[in-house]
Amino acid sequence: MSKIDIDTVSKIAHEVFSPLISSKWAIDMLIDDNFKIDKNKSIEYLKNIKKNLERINLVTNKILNLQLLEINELKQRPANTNLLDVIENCKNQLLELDGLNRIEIKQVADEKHEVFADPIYLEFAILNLLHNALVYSDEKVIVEVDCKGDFDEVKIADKGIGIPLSCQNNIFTKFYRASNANKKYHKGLGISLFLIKNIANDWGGGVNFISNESGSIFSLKILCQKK
Amino acid sequence: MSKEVENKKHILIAEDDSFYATIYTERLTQLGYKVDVASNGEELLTMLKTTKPDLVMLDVIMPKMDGFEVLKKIRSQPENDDLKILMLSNLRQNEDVEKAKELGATDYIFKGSTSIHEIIDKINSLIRGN
Repeated sequence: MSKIDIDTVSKIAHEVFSPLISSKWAIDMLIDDNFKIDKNKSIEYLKNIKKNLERINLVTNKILNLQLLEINELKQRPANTNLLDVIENCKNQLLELDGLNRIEIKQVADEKHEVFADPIYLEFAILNLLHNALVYSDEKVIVEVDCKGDFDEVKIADKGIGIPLSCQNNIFTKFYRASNANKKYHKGLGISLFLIKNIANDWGGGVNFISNESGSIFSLKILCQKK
Repeated sequence: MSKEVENKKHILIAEDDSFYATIYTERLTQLGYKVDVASNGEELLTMLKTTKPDLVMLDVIMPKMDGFEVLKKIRSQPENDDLKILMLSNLRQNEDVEKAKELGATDYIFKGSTSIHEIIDKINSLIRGN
């Protein structure tokens, strides 16, 4: 297993502990008789706690998958999987986290369209591509499904900060973050794209992107369903 | 400005996470403090040009400029020599505490091992000068 440096440990700790601690403090306040809070405010606190749990879930999943990959234990079990259900599920999970309804699914494939992939890792890949698109952009994120021969392509387009040309060759490297990433979202770990690349390559598809200063389009290739 | 507002002790917080900002603001406001939040270190430095708070709270990990850099910039201004600065971090790292003290932090708290009540006690104590 490769070693990670103290800066990465610190970033991971920040990603996990930050939502954990604020949730703990919020619960302490909610159960404290000396803290005056009305019902609407209590609900707002609970929604924030739920959002924090989603954040912790997202990051711990990434760390767990990274460790499984390092020890060659990230084993996929492909099966015919409804693609639009997976995309919708990802959209709903991110609605909790983002709080805004910014993901638009442009349905190209029919509702029953299936791909041949492990549903858990397919969801992981799409969820994290969508999450990246949301955190590096303030506008709508468009998802399109394109069926091409033996493969389907899920395209995720954002109008965000884009990836500088000088960083594009390294963007799938473990722990790498583009030079402009911190200014928009300082919490990233540089794990998602590395994992997605490995996962998608493993199922025989792949992930690619085109990007400039007006945004990025990531394309995830997935095998069509097995008849 | 009313006498009551004028006499309130002022806390300036650099916090990019809106939930932490809400927690700090609502708890401290109920305790009678005047609270202002900057969403990053640069914004806090700009606010410090026009206000003289009784306490500044700085997180180590922040966007644009980390807490140490902000601390260094604050202490480079002689008019901030007596400003009380409480640093906060998630991870328990002794090197960070040493670095913060060298750069002039008044105190340092590990959020992970501290309850909100203990943070409030620390703030009260720093503001009262204990």
